Amino acid sequence: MRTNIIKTTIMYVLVAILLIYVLFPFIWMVSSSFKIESEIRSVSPTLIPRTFTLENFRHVLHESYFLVYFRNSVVVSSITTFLSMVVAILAAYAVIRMSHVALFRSFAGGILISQLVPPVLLVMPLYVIMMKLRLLNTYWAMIVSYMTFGVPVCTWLLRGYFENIPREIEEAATVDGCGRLKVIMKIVLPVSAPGLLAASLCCFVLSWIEFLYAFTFVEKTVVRTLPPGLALYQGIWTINWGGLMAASVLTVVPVAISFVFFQRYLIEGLTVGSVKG
Amino acid sequence: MGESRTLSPMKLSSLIRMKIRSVSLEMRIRHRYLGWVLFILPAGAVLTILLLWPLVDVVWTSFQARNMLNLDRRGFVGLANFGSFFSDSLWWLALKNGLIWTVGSVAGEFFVGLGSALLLNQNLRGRVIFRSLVLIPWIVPIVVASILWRWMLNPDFGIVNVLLVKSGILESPVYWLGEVNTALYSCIFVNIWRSFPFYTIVFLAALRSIPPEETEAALIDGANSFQRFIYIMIPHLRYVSLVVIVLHVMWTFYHFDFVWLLTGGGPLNASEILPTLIYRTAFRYYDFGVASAMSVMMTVILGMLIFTYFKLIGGGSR
Repeated sequence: MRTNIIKTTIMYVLVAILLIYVLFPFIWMVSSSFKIESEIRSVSPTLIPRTFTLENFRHVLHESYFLVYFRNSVVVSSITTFLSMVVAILAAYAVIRMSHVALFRSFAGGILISQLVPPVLLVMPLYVIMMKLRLLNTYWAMIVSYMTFGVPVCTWLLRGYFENIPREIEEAATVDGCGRLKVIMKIVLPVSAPGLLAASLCCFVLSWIEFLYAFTFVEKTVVRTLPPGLALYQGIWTINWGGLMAASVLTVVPVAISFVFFQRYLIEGLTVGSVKG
Repeated sequence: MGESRTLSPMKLSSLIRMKIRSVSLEMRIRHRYLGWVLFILPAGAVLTILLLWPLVDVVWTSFQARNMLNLDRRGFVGLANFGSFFSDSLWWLALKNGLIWTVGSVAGEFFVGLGSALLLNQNLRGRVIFRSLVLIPWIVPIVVASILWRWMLNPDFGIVNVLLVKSGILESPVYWLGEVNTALYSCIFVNIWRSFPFYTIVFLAALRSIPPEETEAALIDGANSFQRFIYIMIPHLRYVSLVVIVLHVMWTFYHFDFVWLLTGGGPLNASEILPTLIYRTAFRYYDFGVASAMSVMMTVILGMLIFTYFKLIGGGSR
C-alpha cells in the first residue's frame, strides 16, 4: 500500500514537471503581455504582474499593423481552406470509390509522395511562377502556394473519413436516381461532417501559421499575414517586448480557440493512423 | 444449308441490337469512368502544376546558371553549380549542423514523447485534460514560439537566465541563441519542446491499443513494470515509432522556419543548416542556379539518410 502511495505521488510530481515544461512559456507570455515595460525588463520578474496594464494590447491593436495582418491571415487561410476542401472532397471520394483502378491508386500515391518535397526547394520555382503571373504581393501568391500542402493534407484526411461511410447508404441513394454529385452532397458530406470539420481546421491552422511562402512572396505591409508580420515586428521594434507578447497572444487566440473546441478530433485524427500497425 | 450462310432479317436485327447494346454499355462504362477522372482532375492539376513541374524545373535549373538579378547570364553549366558548393566549407558546416539538428531534435522528441506517453498512460486523475494540455506547444505558430523563446533565452532579462542564475546553476547569464557554442543546441532544445507532443499522442494511442489480455497474462506471470515495458509495450510501439521517426527526420531536416527565426543561421553560421543556407543563396544572393543544385543535393542526402535508417533497423520489422 505504501509503495503505491509513493509511486502515485512520484507520478503526479512528474506530471507536474511535464506540465510546467509545456505550459510555462505560455503562461509567461500571457503574463508579460499585461506588464508594463519596466517590469518586463526587470531582473527580478514575477509571474503575476505587479502593475497590470492593457497598454500593450492597446498599442498593438491601435498603433500597429496587427489588425491588417490579422485580416490578411483570415482571408488567405479561409480561401485556401475553402478551395482545398472543394478539390479534396472530389478527389478523396473518387479515390475511395475507384480504388480498384490503377490510375486512382497511383494518384493517391502521388498525393502522399508530393509531401516529400521540401518547401525550401519549392519556394524557388513558385517564386518564378508568381513573378511571371504578377501575383507577387497579392493574396493569390499565398493561396495558390498553400494549396501545395492544403490539397494533399485535406485529401488524405478526408480519404480516411470517407472510407468509413457504409456503401449501402450511397447505393441506396444511387438507386433512387442520385447522380454522383448529389450523392456527395446529400449523403457523404452530412455523414462525414466531423471529418470535414477536422480537415478544414487542419488546413486553416496550417495556413494560419505558414511562414516561408508568406515571407518570400509578400513584401507589402498591406498584404502581409501574421507570421511574417510578427517576425519582422521584432526587427523594427525590438524594444517593445510587451507589444510583441501582446501581439503573440492575439495571434495564438484563434488557434487556441479552435484547439479547445476541436482537440478531440485532432487527437482522433493523429491516433487513427497510428493504431493500424 | 443455305440457312446457316445467310442472315435472316430477324437474326440480323437481333445481332445489330446486341452490338448496339454492347457498344452503349462500353460507352456508359467509359462515361462513368470519365466522370470519376474529372473528380481527381483539379487535385491532379494542383499536383502537376504546383509540385511536379516546379520539381522538374528545379532539377533542370540546378544544371543552369541562373541569377535573378542578372537574367541575361543564363546557360547550361553542367555540374558547375554542384562543384561550387562542394568546395565551400560553409556547405559542409551547414550539412554537419543539419545532421546534428535533425538527430538531436528527433532523439530528444522521441524520448520526451515516449516518457510523457508512459506517464500519461497511467491511471491518473485528469489525464484526459493533461493529454490535451500536452499538445499545446505543437499547435502554436512557430513564429510565436520563436519570439517567445528568443525572449525567454535573452541574456539580459530572459526568465531562463534569471532562474538559472538565481538558483545558482549558472554564474552569469548565457546568451544562448547568440553564442557560437550554444546556438545550435538551443535551437534543438526549442524544437524538442515544440515537437514532442506529436510523439506523445501517437505513442499514447499505440499504448492504449495493447490488448489487456497481454498485460493481465504478464501480471499473472509476475512480471514487474520494467519487464512489462520491455516485453509488451516495446513490440507494440515499434511500428508507430518507425513511422513517426521517419516523418520527423524528414520534416526536421527540411525545416526552415525555426532556425531562421531563432538565430538566422548565426552567429557566424554556428547554427546554419541546409534550408537556411539554400534560402540565403536564393533570396539574398539571388543565385537560383546554385540554390537549386543545393536543394537537389539536400533531397538526395535525405533520401540516403532514410535509406540508411531502414538498413540499420533491418527490414524485418514488418
